[in-house]
Amino acid sequence: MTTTSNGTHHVEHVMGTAVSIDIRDPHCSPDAVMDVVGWLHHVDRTFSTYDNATQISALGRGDITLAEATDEVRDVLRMCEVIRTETADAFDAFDIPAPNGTRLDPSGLVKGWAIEQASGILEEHGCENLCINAGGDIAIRGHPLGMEPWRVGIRHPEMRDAVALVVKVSERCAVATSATYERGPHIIDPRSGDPALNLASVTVIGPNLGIADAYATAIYVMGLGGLEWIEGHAGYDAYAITHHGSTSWSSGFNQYRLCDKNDT
Amino acid sequence: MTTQTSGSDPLDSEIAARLERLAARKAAPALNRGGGSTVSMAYEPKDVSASGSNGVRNGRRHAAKRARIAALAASLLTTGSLTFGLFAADGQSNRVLVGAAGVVVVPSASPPVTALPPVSASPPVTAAAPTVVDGDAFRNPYGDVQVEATFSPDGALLDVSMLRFPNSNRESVQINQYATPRLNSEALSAQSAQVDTISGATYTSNDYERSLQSAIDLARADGITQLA
Repeated sequence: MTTTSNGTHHVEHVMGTAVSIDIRDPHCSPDAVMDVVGWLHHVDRTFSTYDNATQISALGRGDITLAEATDEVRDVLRMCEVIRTETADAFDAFDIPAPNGTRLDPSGLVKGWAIEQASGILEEHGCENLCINAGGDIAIRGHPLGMEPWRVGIRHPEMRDAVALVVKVSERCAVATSATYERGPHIIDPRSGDPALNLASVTVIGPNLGIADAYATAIYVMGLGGLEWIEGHAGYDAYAITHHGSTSWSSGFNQYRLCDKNDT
Repeated sequence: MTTQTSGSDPLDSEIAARLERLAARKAAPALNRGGGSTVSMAYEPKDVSASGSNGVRNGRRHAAKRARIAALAASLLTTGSLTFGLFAADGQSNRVLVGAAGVVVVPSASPPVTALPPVSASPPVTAAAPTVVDGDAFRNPYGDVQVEATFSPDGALLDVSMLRFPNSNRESVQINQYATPRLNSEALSAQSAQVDTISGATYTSNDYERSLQSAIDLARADGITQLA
């Protein structure tokens, strides 16, 4: 953890990825970051599908029942069930191959949910201007400086070191991207069991990172039709890149695009 | 949705039923370590550097293609635009179906970017996963050039784009009927984009070390709030 006049910054390796915590308030307590780090490891111990000892693994095996699970596990599974219904099974945590060999895997929502909660922890400590990035899924609060918006680059699907687009977000906002890069993991279509191949990358912006994370996965599975689907979900917008390099977005997405040569 | 904390919920019976069905099923064999609801596919290991190492993408299987692509790059430089005929197959049923396609060199000063109408006017995409092959870098008096070709599963050449450019990094090459805005023309370096953070598909802890986000974090750890 480093603290400078520009705020506090920390990178924690947890949940199989790197979580970057970037607090711009100059005097936020180091305890705030430590509380978030503790929370993230707790989430890992509870929800990981790479660890047979977690509640989720036990639930997937049928070793424990839903009633025996803790409240937070039930809350997450309820969110998964709501989104499964909303997406007509394009997002389905209850019938998807998990690394632990079961078919229960809420990971498509858990990371975003955990980071959303982590933002709340920082806010309870009085932090107002912050950005938490968990392996590409981002929760934003406030501003990076003054009233400036946070500038979030969306990774180019084919070029590791390039961004396809920059969006500006501020106050309470979440940005989640689902994509398949050159050798990265494929996203499974729960309806067929096969990898989803329609799109190269989908980014969802909205108020809640858990929901945005799951929606991005669902739209990736739906293909371009998912952009029409999200039109019916107030507050959430999406931007898709096809394998051919063409881009499409939902009607509300323009508000996040920086004014540049591509806007017209 | 995030603040439900009660011990029971109307959804619980549906969830419990689903969990029981799962438990009743024979557990599927464990999959490759992907991430979340994902599964790793058997891609060639690959070292992706910023401007693309020479032909590392699927290099083992596509050496012949790469050689042809390098040749294409060479001819592009000398002619600016050209018409070319059928490529030969490289022995793996990857027939390249492009015939007499026009090649248009598009200077980026006037990118052919018109915002796609939202959704409804977008053509339906039914493509399976294309194969992306990097050509060998080709050196010429004006600098290095390297192209990248995208092939459909049936071997059709879908797209050729420039990875390295002799004079600037703001030209793109378009081939065939795809008149859609080229993403490459929108691509920005992280420096010019001056971003605070990067959104993308979840990377592993190892991949993080090579990601743009790690570079941003390193600068941030020094108290720098923006790459400049």
